[in-house]
Amino acid sequence: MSKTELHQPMETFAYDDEIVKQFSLATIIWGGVAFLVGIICALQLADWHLNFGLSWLTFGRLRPLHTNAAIFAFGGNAIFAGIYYSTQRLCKARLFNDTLSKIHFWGWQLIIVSAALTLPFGITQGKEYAELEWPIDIAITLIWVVFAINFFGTLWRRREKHMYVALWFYIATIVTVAVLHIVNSVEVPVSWYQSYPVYAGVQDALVQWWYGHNAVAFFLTTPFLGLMYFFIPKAANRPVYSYRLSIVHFWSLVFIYIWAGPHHLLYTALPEWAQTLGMVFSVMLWAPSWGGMINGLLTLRGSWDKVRTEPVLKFMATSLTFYGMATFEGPLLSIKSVSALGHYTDWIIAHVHGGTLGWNGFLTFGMLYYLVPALYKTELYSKRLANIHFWTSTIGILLYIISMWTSGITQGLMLRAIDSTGKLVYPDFVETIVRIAPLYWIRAFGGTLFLAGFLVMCYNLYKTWQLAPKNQKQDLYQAPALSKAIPADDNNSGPWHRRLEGLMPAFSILVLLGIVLGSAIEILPTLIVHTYAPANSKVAPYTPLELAGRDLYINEGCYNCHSQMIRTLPEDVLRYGKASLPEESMYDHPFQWGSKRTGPDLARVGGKYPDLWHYRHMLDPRSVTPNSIMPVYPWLFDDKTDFAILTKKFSVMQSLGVPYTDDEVRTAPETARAQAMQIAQGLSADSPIKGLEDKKIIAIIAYLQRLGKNPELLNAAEKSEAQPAPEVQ
Amino acid sequence: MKQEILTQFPWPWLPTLALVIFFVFFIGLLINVSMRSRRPIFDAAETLPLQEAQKFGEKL
Ligand code: HEC
Repeated sequence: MSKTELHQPMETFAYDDEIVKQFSLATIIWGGVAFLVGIICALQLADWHLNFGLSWLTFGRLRPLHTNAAIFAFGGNAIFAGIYYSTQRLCKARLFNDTLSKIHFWGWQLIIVSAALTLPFGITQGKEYAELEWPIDIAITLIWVVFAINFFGTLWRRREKHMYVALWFYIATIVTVAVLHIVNSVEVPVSWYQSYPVYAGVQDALVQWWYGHNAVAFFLTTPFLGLMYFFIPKAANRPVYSYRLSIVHFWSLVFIYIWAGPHHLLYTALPEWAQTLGMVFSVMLWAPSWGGMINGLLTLRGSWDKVRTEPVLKFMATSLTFYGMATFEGPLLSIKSVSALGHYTDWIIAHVHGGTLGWNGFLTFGMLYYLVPALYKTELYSKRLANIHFWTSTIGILLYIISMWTSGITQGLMLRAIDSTGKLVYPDFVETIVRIAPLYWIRAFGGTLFLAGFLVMCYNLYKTWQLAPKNQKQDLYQAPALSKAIPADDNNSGPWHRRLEGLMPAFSILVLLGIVLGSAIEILPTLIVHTYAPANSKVAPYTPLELAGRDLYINEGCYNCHSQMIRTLPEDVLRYGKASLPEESMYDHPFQWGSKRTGPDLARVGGKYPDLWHYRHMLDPRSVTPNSIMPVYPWLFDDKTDFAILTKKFSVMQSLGVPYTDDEVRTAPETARAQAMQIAQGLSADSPIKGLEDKKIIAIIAYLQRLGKNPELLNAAEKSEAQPAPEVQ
Repeated sequence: MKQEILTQFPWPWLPTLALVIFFVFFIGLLINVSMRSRRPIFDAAETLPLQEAQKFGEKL
């Protein structure tokens, strides 16, 4: 304790641990939901029957629920619990305001519930991890501000001068997530449950993956690293291996991560330099990530015996190992030639589950094994059960990732196999599915083991809670108040960082600058250039019916299984046609490039089949493609298209710069009905199918038949230059 | 096509600029953390998670 502190009066305070308990409980409940929904999704890919023909249970709608629940409900509640617990201890202060804590807790749970009530019903923006519609987006912003005030207020009132490195990671999280969420969610409402983002095509892709990757960075990485820097030293009862390394770790991670987004868009229509930028910075990320992992693991040096016996350390050490694995794999996958093979396949699914189940999951479990006994002043009920949890879940994760590695690499290799005459060896996409389908069962089994282990933990923690002594009194603590002035004796010892570390606002602004700089350099050029399409290109926007169909495509979550982006790679061009041009998606609010090809790319599916094929395929995919794993969509044949709303949709699109005339806006519903009638008549001409003209299926068919069919554009492109030979690996 | 896009985005030097900014920053950071005067600060900071506030009623 320094001289200055001794001069300050002693203050008495209590920690708010109730809120930590609440967030911990919410973590457990939502964790169960997220894992269960994940298993349902996995089973549906193994056997398409398993949605029981229920629209709200189909893969396309459930997959966003799974990812949102895992990231924001399980992960979110876990970080709030951990941040609130550790921040109070590190600041020697109670949370800033109890009411704000309560609003934060209940607000966040409400957001989760509204996600669960909208996503399965197809209410979605169709941007990954940002699916929630605009009213919920606003709620997220408000609750995040509440969290920020509560957190920064606590820092402001702290009784410990130095801000420990964990707190820096929390600051980076709060500041950056706010920026990401706001920038990526700029959208114009069409109705209470629909909106269009202001960005389109290439721009939307870049903004979305800047957001998407940094959601991984600043929601699933920095806060958990902060927790790691607090809980591992705490549980091992020894300081972090190198504080110096933790500073380097922090700044380089924050600075580099923000640039990495474009590695999701390699070989796409994104400008080459942005791809290179994303790749270079992603590869560089390997260094700070491993620096952090090594720092965490070496903290345990000399306590390895405890890692064997103490569940907290066992889970945390393993989580760091998974972190190391995932952060080795990430940069590897960002290398263009590796991405060419792995992107759109299950390899990426293996990668993210190593991260979420192994790193986030195990760190959270370790934290809960620490928190529950600590908060209830008792011992863990059973170390044996914790061990069972550990092994069941570890084997579960390993089965998961090994099966998905195998599946991804197998499918990637099959899809790119070209024989000596230059033809695809497996021209039918479904041939690759037949090969990997058994692995989907292994994945589902692995996920089930993970959930089983988790349930053992729930039981163990419940019994621990029961052991807690009744009528516990709240502990009171004492610490000297912190003088706000920087003491004189500090000034000469003071390199700038020392003072910076004490100055929370300045520190936060520096973090903000770091991330804004990276984001601006990466995104602004693309945003400024409105005319990224060559001036001579004429892209016709969607007709009203096609737009209605496109919105249904988004509602049904087709983009979760289908990409619309033919990369500049020989295997893509041979299989799907001419590589996608940036201007082809210039009116797509939001872009539909996709990120996973569970089914084939659809960018040029228009005209590939007759309408009747699509009709039969959507009703029962296996009637036209044996062995398909695509779900059935019978409700599209009963539900009616909302024609009336098309005027509103068109006018919003018009305000976003899509060149519709006022006339076109006004007459959108009639135009759509006329086109629908035409398609319906075409269908009934060759078959007994009648009375479909107002059904959703017709709108979907109109949209699918339009994909890749932009006659004026194609003619212009052919005239101006021949397609350059695709790059060879 | 690549050429076509490049004419619309004439900033191929941006990645280089980004790297220069990063490395200047990074080297500064390394110099900063390796300054000897910072040692005592690190020593104090690293023990923070291990310290608990004193319980009320306990002696100093
Ligand atoms: C669970 C993943 C999944 C979802 C969700 C999904 N599909 Fe598919 N889709 C597939 C698979 C697998 C194939 C390849 C086998 C086949 O033709 O059925 C496919 C094939 C297709 C094809 C034929 C492509 C071609 O070139 O032969 C079209 C068109 C299509 N899907 C449209 C849709 C639409 C529209 C939706 C949303 C309403 C949708 N899909 C949702 C998996 C999916």
